[in-house]
Amino acid sequence: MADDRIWAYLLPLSYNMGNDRQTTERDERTIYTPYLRFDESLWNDMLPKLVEAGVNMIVIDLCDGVRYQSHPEIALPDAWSPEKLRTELDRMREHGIEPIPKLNFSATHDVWLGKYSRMLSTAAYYTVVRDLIAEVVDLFDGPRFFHLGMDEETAQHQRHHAFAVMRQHGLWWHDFNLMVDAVEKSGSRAWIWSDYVWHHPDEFVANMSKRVLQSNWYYGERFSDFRGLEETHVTAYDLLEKHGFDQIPTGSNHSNTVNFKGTVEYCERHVDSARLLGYFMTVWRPTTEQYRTAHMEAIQLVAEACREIGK
Amino acid sequence: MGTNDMIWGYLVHLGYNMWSDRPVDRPNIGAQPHIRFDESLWNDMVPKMHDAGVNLVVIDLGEAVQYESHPEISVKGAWSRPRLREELGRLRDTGIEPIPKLNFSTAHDTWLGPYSRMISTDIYYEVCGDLIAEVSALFDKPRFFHLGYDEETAGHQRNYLYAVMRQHELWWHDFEFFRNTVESHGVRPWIWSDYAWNHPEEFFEKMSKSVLQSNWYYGDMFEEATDEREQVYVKTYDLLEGHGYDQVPTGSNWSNTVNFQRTVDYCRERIAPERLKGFLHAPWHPTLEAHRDAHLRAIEEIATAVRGW
Repeated sequence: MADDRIWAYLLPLSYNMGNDRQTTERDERTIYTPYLRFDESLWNDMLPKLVEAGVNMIVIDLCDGVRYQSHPEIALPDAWSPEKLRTELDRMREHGIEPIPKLNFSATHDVWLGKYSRMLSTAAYYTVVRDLIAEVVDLFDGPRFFHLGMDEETAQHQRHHAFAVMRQHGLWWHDFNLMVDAVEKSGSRAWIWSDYVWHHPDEFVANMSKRVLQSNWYYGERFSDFRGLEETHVTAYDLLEKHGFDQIPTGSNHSNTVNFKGTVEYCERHVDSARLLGYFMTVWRPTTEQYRTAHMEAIQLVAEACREIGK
Repeated sequence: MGTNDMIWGYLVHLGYNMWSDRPVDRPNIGAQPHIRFDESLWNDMVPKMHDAGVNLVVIDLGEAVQYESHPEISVKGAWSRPRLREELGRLRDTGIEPIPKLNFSTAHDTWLGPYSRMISTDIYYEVCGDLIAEVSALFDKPRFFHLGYDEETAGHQRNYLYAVMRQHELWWHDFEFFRNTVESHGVRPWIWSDYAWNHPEEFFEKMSKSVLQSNWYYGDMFEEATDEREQVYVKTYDLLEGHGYDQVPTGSNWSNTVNFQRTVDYCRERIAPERLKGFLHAPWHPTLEAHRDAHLRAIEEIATAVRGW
């Protein structure tokens, strides 16, 4: 039923998940900063609008924006204390919104891990990953889902990074399964971006647990008459459905204002309701006043899609 | 410059865990937990190298030495420090100068064990500094220290489990760390020059003249090369000369039997004698009996080149 749908919104607390070096070749927002980029004035305005729009879940990209007790060395100087985070999580719940944690462990998006981002697949790294997942699950009081990211781990996506690293072949799966295991042991359900399937469809279908919630994503305008790789990206929804994965398709106003509605329309037709848990809006902008317009526009797009489905 | 002044170098592998960190279809490319070095072949090679005119052997040590500073890197059968010293003494007695090589390129550092997954961390710099210090001492302050540093690209690591590249400023940051570390021991750094192929402007702006350069090319076409990439590889000898770098051009019998002589001929014509320090032959085969013929042919190619010099 449409009423049961998740209408999720991705909220970056920190935005250190892009470039590890200054470069003019990438947008400024993707460059690491040694301070938090989160304006509470904007967040405070967003929260009631999210509620009004029908958003019932917020996925918080924590990164280095929390002073983890297990690994305080990761935190930015102005990172939120655990108490501050808990206060905000309670505020969301009071507004009827379910908070879900996200820590992106993709090598392309883990500059927030500090020194551990240069120690992937070592004993020290695995310890840190497990520690953080356990602590965050506790901070979120046993969340229903735990988003692990794990997208875009390719050389091309790291071409502007100083340090580029990719887990390949069996190692990607080894590390991913370790993370899923850590999430499941803590009583939560793992959730990931599904783009690994684009380039490794057979491997993905053979190895990916059905327990892992899938968010394929596509931000273009076209859902037919495709160009280039668009068909691969869009029909991944169909591939995931064909193989029985639970999905939360993801759209955005990153590139245009029609994608989110198009994503909803496409997936309502192509994904069985039993496996279509909801939709996810990702603005891909920091939660700062500079990007207020983009966030407000995104919330409006969710509201419109939500109303359309509710008809 | 006479033959006696020239380096006629030979690259020998004591360790061979310099490629894939997982089993692959190609023989010997996957790392092994034991040494791959047949002394029977080596014992036959040394006098033949001497007879051929080889006067310098670059020994790729990798995982095959029981380093005092980091024994955790060593594989089963790795040489003890006294064993290595004994062999270095034997080489010197034969008139051959031993030079150490530790390849710190991320495409070729599986031998570093756990540290190959900690690139550009404090631990990594400490380990690499320790190894360079220990090896410089083991070789009694060698004239050169070959750092490798080649092929650090995603393409070269496409079949690895763990692919890592230092890019932009970080490649130079780490390279300068290695250069300074080697030089702090009174030794001259030596590298493969292929970074210049894809980053020529950056390379010639930042590369210190104190670093000995070994460009390498193993094809059979030189001036007549029509392939765009081959032209880049060959012309790098000219570019290095144009910018005033000391060179030890490197050929091989990896792909054919004419490359080494043609490398010598090409570079003799184009590199000023004061910067042409010699030549290096790199067969790239493990020092194993199964590869005896390739090694002996390589030594014969050097003999021919030395005679013709």
